[in-house]
Amino acid sequence: MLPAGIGLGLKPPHYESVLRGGHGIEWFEVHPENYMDAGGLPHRYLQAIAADYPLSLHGLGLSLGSADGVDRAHLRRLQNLVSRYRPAQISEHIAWSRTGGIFHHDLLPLPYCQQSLAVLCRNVDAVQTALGCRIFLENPAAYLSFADNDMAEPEFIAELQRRTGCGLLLDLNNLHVSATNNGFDAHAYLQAYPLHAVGEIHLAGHSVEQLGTEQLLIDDHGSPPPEVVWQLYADVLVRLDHPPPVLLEWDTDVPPFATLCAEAARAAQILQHRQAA
Amino acid sequence: MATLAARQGQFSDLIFAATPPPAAECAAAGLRATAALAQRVAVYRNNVHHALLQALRDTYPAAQRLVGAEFFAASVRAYVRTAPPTAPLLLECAAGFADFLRDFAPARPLPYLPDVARLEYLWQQSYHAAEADSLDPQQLLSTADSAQLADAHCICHPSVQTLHSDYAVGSIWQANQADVPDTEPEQPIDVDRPEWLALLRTGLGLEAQVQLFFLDAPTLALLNQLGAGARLGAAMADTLAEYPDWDAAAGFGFLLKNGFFSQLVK
Repeated sequence: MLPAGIGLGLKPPHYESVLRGGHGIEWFEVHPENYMDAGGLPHRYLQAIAADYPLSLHGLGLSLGSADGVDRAHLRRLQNLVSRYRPAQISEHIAWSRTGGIFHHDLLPLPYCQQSLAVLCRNVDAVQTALGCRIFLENPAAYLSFADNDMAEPEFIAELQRRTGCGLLLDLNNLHVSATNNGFDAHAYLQAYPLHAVGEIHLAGHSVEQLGTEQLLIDDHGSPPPEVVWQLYADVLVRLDHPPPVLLEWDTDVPPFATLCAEAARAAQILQHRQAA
Repeated sequence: MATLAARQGQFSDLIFAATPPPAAECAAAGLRATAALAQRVAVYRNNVHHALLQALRDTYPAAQRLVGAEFFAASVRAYVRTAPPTAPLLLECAAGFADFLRDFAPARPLPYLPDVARLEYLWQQSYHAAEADSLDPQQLLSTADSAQLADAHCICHPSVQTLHSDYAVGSIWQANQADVPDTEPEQPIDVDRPEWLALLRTGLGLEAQVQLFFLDAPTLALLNQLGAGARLGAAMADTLAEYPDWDAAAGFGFLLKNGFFSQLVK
């Protein structure tokens, strides 16, 4: 299990700072796709860091929502990485990227219907069986929705969780982005969402694109989390019996390690406040 | 209602359509007809394209510097249309770019460009190759007599990559590294000169660098033969038959001394 403290995404320019220690970060997240080569410097650093800190493998490539099923070759690569680094937690996304042999390098949206649910559950079952453990699934950041949805996202996720026994990764920036872009209320969402299964929280920033009179929020992880995300975090913590591990994400225009640690300290402060209450 | 597979196929078509699909086309793919639907779809189109462009920029920085960012981006768009990405690993999606450039008419004025890209891809292969210790020359010479050596297989270090080009692509590549100022070099490179190149990752622990070696034709031929599994004696004899003036001991000694071999299998 990941420690119930603050984690950061591991970036190559920060390898040395991470190893020097004294930063208060309790665990690190990596995208397995960045470590699926055989060896070299990235693996040497990751081995050194994994010796000192728990790792979370946060996948981008399994395409769990694909009607075409799970890519067995990619799953084998993930299995190899899991046996090599023994991560404390493994997570992926409620999304799809692959169809008809083409891999779209983005997390694409699913219609929320029985058919998607059946496909997603079958793929999640296959992965959990192959890895021999529970995986944690993240709610998407969406820019649009499907016309023939027959359930709302939190109901879809609750049913996914009930059928597969998976854990959940609640991304509060994604929630705010999707709620704004698709016109629903984030607090109402959390009422219907199975908070009991949350084993990790993500905090991140987004940008705003003006489309005529419309504002579209873009999940670019290129700035600190805005106040609305911090507020959602505080609200969710009150409703959880045990505060879960929390990750601060910053993936584009990555700032110096010290800036990330300063933002992380804010999350740690909120967490400590909750733990003391 | 369309099947999920059909929906995903339709969404894929929206992503890879040559021009941004209008809202009506997006709605026909089952998307909810909201305000600015076409722009919403465009976010996904941009994400997919940007991920590939960034991956190719990261893999081929010298090629990009040679042609400029704008030309590079246009070639990547054409590349993606010819060879849509099939792998979840971005480096794999970048693999065919050198071959694509060879047939890409607008790049013809720079005939060496495909081989520069090829060298950059090999550099990535070398950088990420499996770990292995290099063979210690002293130990090798003390454990095997010359008859045993002739019969042995010299297993190349996993990071060894080789390239023969009709153009001076090793020199061009070196002159177009990020830390080399983008000014006219004092000694212009004679680009129409062939080069025989090898890459090897050196350095232990948290130090590692991929080194570029300028070999001669016979030494590269020997290295390629050994890499393909030939026995040392046979590979030397073949190479000498083609290049009678070659100093075989010096050529093999250079490779051995620099750590190109990881194992001797008798």
